[in-house]
Amino acid sequence: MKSWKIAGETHLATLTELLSADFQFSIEHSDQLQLTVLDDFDWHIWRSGCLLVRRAERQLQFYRGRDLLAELETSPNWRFWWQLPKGELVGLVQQRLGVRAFVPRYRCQLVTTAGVIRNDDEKIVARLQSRSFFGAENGPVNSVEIVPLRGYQKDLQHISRILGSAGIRPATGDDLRSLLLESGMPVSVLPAKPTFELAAQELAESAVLRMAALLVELARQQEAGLLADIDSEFTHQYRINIRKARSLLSLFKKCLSAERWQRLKVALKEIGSATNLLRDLDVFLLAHDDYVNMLPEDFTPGLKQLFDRIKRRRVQVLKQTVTRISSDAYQARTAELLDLLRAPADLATRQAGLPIKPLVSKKVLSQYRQLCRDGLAIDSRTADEAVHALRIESKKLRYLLELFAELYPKGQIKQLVALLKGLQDNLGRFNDFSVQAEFLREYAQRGRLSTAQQAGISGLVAVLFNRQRKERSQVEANIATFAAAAVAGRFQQLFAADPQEK
Amino acid sequence: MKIVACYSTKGGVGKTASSVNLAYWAARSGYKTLLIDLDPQGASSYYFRIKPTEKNWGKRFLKAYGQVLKQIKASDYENLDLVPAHRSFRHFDTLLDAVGKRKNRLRQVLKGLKDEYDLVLLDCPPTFSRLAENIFTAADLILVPVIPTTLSERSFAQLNRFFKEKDYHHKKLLPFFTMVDIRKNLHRETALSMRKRYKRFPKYAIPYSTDVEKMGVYRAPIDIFARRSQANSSYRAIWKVVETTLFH
Repeated sequence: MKSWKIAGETHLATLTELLSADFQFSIEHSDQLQLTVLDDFDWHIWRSGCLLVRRAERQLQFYRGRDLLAELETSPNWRFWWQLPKGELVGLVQQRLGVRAFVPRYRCQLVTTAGVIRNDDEKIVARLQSRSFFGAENGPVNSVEIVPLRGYQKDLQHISRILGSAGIRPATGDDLRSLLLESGMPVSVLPAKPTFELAAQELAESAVLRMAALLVELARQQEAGLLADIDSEFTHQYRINIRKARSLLSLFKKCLSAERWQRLKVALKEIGSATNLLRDLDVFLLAHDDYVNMLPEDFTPGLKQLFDRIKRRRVQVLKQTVTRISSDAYQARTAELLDLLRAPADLATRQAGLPIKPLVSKKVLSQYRQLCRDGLAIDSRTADEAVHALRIESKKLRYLLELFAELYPKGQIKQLVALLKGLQDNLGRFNDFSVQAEFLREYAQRGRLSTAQQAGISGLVAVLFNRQRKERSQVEANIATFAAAAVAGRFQQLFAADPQEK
Repeated sequence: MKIVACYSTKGGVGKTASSVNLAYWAARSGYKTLLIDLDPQGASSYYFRIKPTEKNWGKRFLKAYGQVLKQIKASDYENLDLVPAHRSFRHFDTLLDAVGKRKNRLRQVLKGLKDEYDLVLLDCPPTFSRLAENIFTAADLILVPVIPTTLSERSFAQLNRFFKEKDYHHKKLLPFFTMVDIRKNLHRETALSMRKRYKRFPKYAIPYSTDVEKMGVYRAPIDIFARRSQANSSYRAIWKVVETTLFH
């Protein structure tokens, strides 16, 4: 088999003309359909080297490279892996998208043509498959594959020579992915973690403001998906970026003028809180399967009622959130926030004018030490509030490490984050369980719940309480691991003041 | 893999037309089929528009199956390949002498094709020779087209006698009538008497038909250009008999 790319709208006519001296080309059948590439906002399927396409609004196909791994009849309403019928595709999509929705990212018309090439005895010597992709902007991208019949390899060589002398060179690796790209599919993959292009010597205030501005911009990129309610991840990512910006500014507030810090704090808090309720409802709904499995079967009808109720509630809350976020007032507030972040440095404090890297190193070490100090003070009698406070401290350390990773040798920060992960996950789950229990308790007090729903809530609260206690019991051990001499040594090694940088 | 020969000592009885149409129906039924044109005149190759090869490879035919593989050409139809004839096939007897006196030489060569094909069909030249004996040994089934006339009856009787003398398994022979003209008394009577004498004749016969002759014009199996013709359905019915005999 050999493939060629032949340009132009009339590539088959060109081919017929070129071959006409020694061969006859005839079309056996031709077909046209719409091809829709499905993926999430971050192109996770594409980035894993795969491709999910819908052909003619009917078939859903999953490719890895050239291999078709799964194919099934589709419904246009499917957006999440849990909506797919049982089969191989479920795992393939779940693994890559998690809670994210697959939505149309690119559409093009695909014209496929099958034909035969005959010699002067009118004997078929080769079969031809042509695929033309008509994207929105570019002219068609045509890929022609010619497969010789057994015993007719020489004719293929002859065809090759004819095409070659017309300047048409064989193509390689024409999989669907590369053809779609050529037809104009715009794949814009944002890096998983933003890079800020920091210089070690950059002044702390301007570096921090610049980073926070980028984080707010990243959050704003999630707005469209949030407003369209494509999947819950848009809200989540929106919140994470706002939270990172808040955390960053709060860690380096001594670099900012008191007035600027006050205004930023208020604005970020306001913007961040706009999605609080929506996120709480999402977290609850995403835990559906887990919750149903938590309780004996006789609770299921009550839970179903509860979930239906919360789904309806989410519809209202989404509406309110969308109204709020798309309001002029909110948009003006975000614009104002960005202006405030982009305004030139005030250089009003001592730290504002220090180079960023040594300051970060100092901050990391002190944050690490404080986390260990506060953590080691916790025992089984300590109030839960202290554990919650510890979670916030550990998250600050995590953001600090991740946001400034580019200032340090590659891979070093990753290892430290991995060491922190055990503790942070533990604290995170501890928090999630109490937040969820609190959410349910509050919900129960709103009244008008049936006995079955009340029972469901009580059951869930009890299980969540147990889980939370279990997480609580592991906190001390996780702290001890993280505060151990070996980990402390690594922090010391990487962040202790370098005499050259002083 | 089964080996079927289409064989007759008489020329012009419809061997090639039968080979081409039966191979076509075998392939249509899903059997990976290889038609080997042993007749140096190359008529079945012609019907499939496949040129005989230029190279004189006849002397290599009986060396090893790898030599046969190199000559295979795909027909225009799915599952159907062909080894075209070459003029040098006229000297098969000499070639057979060169590789020794064994009668199973052809079978050994063809056995090498068993991974690729379910059925090998040999379109044989009209000969009573060393090649014929190799064919009789190699084939699981020998299809013998017989025109219901006195001369054909005589040559089929000769073939039967030969099988008896040489102790070949006579059940390998599957005769069937071709070019039957129902309007001719002679055809009707000869067919009747032969069916009485040889029980293996299937009830289906290939009628005399211009569609068979037109194969040379269209250079294709009858099904391609005269799907509804009597000759086409008769060949299909004969194929069913062959299929049942070989595969069920």
